[in-house]
Amino acid sequence: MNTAMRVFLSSTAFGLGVSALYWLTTHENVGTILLGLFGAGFAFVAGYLFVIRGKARVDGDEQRAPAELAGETIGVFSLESPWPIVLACCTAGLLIGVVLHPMLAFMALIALFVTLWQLVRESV
Amino acid sequence: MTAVTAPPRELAKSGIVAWLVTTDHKRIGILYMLTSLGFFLIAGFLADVIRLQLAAPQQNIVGPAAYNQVFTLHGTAMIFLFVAPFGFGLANYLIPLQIGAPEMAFPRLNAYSFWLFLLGGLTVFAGVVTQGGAASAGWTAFAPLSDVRVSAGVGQDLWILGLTMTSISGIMTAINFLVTPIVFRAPGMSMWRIPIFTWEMIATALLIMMAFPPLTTAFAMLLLDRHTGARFFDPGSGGDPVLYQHIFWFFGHPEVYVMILPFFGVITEVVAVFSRKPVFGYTGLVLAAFAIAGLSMGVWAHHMFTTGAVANPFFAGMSFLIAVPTGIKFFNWIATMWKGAISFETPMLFAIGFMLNFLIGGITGVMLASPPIDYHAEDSYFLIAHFHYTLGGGSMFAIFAALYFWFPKIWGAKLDERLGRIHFALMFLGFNLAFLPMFFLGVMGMPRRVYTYPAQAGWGLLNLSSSIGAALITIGTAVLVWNVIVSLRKKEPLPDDPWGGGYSLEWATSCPPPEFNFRALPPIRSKRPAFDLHHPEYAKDSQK
Ligand code: HEM
Repeated sequence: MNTAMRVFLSSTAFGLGVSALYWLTTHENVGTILLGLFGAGFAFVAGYLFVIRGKARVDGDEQRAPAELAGETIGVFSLESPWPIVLACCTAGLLIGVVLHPMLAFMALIALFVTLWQLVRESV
Repeated sequence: MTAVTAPPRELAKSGIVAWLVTTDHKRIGILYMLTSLGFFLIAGFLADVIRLQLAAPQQNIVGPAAYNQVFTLHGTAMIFLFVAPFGFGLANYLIPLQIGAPEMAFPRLNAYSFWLFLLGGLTVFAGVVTQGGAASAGWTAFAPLSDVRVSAGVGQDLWILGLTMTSISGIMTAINFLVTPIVFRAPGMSMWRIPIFTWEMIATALLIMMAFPPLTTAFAMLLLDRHTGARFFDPGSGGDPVLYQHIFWFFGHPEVYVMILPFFGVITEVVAVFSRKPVFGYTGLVLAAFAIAGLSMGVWAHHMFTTGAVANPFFAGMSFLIAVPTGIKFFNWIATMWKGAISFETPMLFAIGFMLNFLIGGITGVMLASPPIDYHAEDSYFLIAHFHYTLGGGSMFAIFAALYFWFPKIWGAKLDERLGRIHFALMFLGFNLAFLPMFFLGVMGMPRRVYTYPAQAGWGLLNLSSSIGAALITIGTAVLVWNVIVSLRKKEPLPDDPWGGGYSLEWATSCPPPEFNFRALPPIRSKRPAFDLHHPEYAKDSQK
């Protein structure tokens, strides 16, 4: 996890650095904030990885672990589910409906909630 | 290996239903790649319409209004529906294999992303059958071209909505690309051992997460302007069209790297395998990918030099800097090839074609990053030539390299080598014949997005050459399609590593891989676990 944390930390430093450079060369607020936020977003992820660093153990970080261990802790994967495609249709219907046809949007929204509910049910 | 458990299949194991409900990363990868190639064929057809219209002066094969729709759909499909999504498809297929994982972190989210992408693409094209026709404000949809006064038709709305869907889908995909390699690596696969392609996808995923939300925002603002009279971009009511350009390019430039970073990864893998050498400068390549990704977030306004509303020196400086990490990549590829036992199979031919073309695209990019040059070249055919050299000569060539390279892994059959070479020759010749003249046309003053030009301008011959080039590209594409058909017919059992010298984990499992990818994982003790497995006599060397 350390490497991942370093990736995010260096991205944070980079974002904040560019933001400072931008402000020094332009004295323009909007761009400075935008670039600063891009650094700050990474800081959030880096911070999270720092907080969980002791608890989260990733197989990949065990440099010499035997391969036979692979997957034991990974768990259950489903190979199929009808709901993602239905959810995609609902999303498309909702977006198109909001702009072009409120009734379509309304129906898509209801279908969307039902689908989300089905996805939750499938997961437990 | 006790890999994973799967609940029993309830719906279907094969047939069309199985593909509709699949959450298997390999199948989703294949769906992504096939769909994006389908969009490539459509966008390529539209490119041919453009080149037919421009082959000679004062033609009227398509009128001005239709021409606007044609180049808008061509650009949109190539960028949003072909190049970037092909990279997503490849990554979907490869990331779990390369890091020794049985699946993506969130398989159902993955399936959702694909279907939303497909529906988004279809929505964009649905504009064609509406009354006012498809969108015609260009792939950038700048205000006021895309506002309701200039583009009143529903086609523009469908364009915005469709691309909003692809944008949401991209963000969902990026979550998977980021979480999977960080969390799901097999034992021994430390971060500093994962293949370069996967690293490039991590950088790409970060870019997507930063760049796609602003795009969605810009589109929402466009829709509000069009339907609620919000006037964000209407100068008459205190709005500002340049604001749209800012937000669009804050997405648009990183998007360019979303379209190239995955393919830098492809080229790295192909060059190493066909040079029979380990990748030179692994750490440098990873750091360069992140440097490119980071810098690309700070260069958006180099697309806006001529608005006079941006800090040109800052954006020019940042743009020049990108040449440094890109140069590092080129250096590392050449150093990987240096003194290698190079063999020129089709994937390697396309990789070398990529390097030659992308070099031209890159160098003209550095030229355009200089505001004094950009003031002259902006909106001319010079610019069209430049970005086609990076995205067509670059990304598209890398896509073909990837197609030939991983085809045996995905389908269990190698593509025919002879037809592959013909395909490459036609593509390379055709591409340069089509796009080299455009640099000269640009310098001679031919603007982009014009449906015809007067004979006196003297642009006829160069345009004709360009159109002949486009015809060669089309024939080349037909050869590829033919190659796929004949090669799939003569399938024969392949070894795990049909090229010999494959080093990342996907070459340590069968072609095609089984459900959940590996029957048994080899020990991972270096950056080249598959090579160590197949060539134990050299394993000590790669573990140094
Ligand atoms: C394969 C052969 C291709 C040919 C012959 C071709 C041809 C052209 C031509 C002539 C134009 C200029 C139209 C105009 O400004 O009037 C154009 C525009 C464009 N092309 Fe291509 N192209 C090809 C491939 C690609 C690829 C691979 C991409 C990749 C991403 C791409 C992206 C674009 C974009 C974004 C535009 C700008 C559209 C606009 O102005 O809104 N093209 N293409």
